[in-house]
Amino acid sequence: MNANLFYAAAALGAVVLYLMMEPRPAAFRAALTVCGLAAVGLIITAVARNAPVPDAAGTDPTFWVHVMVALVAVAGAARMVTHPRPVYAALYFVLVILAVSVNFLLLQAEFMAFALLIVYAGAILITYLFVLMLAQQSGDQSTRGEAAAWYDRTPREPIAALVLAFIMLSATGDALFRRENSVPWLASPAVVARANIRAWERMEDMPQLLLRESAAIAETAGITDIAKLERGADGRLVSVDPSGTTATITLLSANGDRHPITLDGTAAPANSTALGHALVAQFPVSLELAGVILLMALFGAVVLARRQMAMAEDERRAAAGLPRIDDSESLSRGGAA
Amino acid sequence: MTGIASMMNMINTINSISIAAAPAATAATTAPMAPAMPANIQVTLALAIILFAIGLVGFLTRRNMILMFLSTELMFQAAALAFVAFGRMWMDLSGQLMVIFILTVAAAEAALALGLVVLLYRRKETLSSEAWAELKE
Repeated sequence: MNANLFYAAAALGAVVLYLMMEPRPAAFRAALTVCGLAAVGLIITAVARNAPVPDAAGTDPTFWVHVMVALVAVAGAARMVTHPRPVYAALYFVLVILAVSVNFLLLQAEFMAFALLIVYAGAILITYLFVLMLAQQSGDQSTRGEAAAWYDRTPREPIAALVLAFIMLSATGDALFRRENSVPWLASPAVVARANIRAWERMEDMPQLLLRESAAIAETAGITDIAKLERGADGRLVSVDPSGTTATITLLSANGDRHPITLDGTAAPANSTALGHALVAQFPVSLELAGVILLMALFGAVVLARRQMAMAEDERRAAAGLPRIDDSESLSRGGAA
Repeated sequence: MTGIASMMNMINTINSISIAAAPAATAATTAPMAPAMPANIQVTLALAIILFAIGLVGFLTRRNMILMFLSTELMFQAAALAFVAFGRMWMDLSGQLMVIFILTVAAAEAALALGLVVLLYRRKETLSSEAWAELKE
């Protein structure tokens, strides 16, 4: 039942997206917007009704924030792929990025939310806008007096593309409705405990943070002469409660007294701290490879830019009536330097 | 590992610490991580697949080369959203780490692809991908 609702809503969304691809009068556009948002709302309804805790939508206030963010993101994305003017399309993509980063915040990925804003909206999209404005000067041959070039106004094979996307959406969305043979979607208490124990074990590598947090707690109990952290019999600083809720560490005073301190979740490292630790501790080779990829992109961009400069010089020579630089010559010049 | 061990030894030999007055400890006991609501995860995953489908439509229907690349960025966003949602579901940071690598690849792709597009634009004075249809031979 929910799956059928999902397919019907996806088909409605595909029809709306098809109608959005041509320029339309304002009243028709408003009707399309309502239909499109209704399609997304139906998809969300179908999916949320299928969630393991049926009344979650009623009890969790952030659920509605998730729904609003999803509506904004899908509206921005639909307008981005259908808007006839490229600069507006890029600006609608910024809206999508804003919505996605809010969604990251809701999923407790705070560092990634702001990294996404800075890197995507701040750097990558600005690069796109620069190139769009560079390549779309007024008086462009292809514009012919219209507000947008013909290739921006005319979609290529829209029906085939929408059918393909509908099949892909249905096939992927189907996975959201077939859970009986796959992994359970509600994190079991064992999974929660394991994740919490992992969070405490991460603190094992952060003795300064551990000392700071535990000494602050000790001070509220009137213990101010803390000397150092004591290791347990197994060589660990932190001994975690089997449920993962709390962790106990032992502080040594300067005079040799031992003070066991119980830490709760407020002492655990923040998202950015934990993420940095996991990046270096779990994926050091991938981190190096990412650096290599960026370096290669830097080299590639420099090589491409040199070639562009040679070609611009070529055009100036042609305009001045001089013979054009041979292509192979400019390439070898770029390669040799 | 030796670095971490030596750092720990260094910390352990600190003799005296002075700490500013700390606020009173809160009474409620909270675990470091709490499980997510399945409905929220489901909605996020649905958003991810819808965004991916729209990005696919954009890549196939757009004729402007820059906007074709922009549509692939939309598909990157959808993949990142799915990574973070699954990471939240299992309360694991690996999903968020994958987004860092997605950002890296997206930045590298933007730099190279846009350089190529400008190069192609200078050859034919148009951004239409149809102008390069002879490449399919």
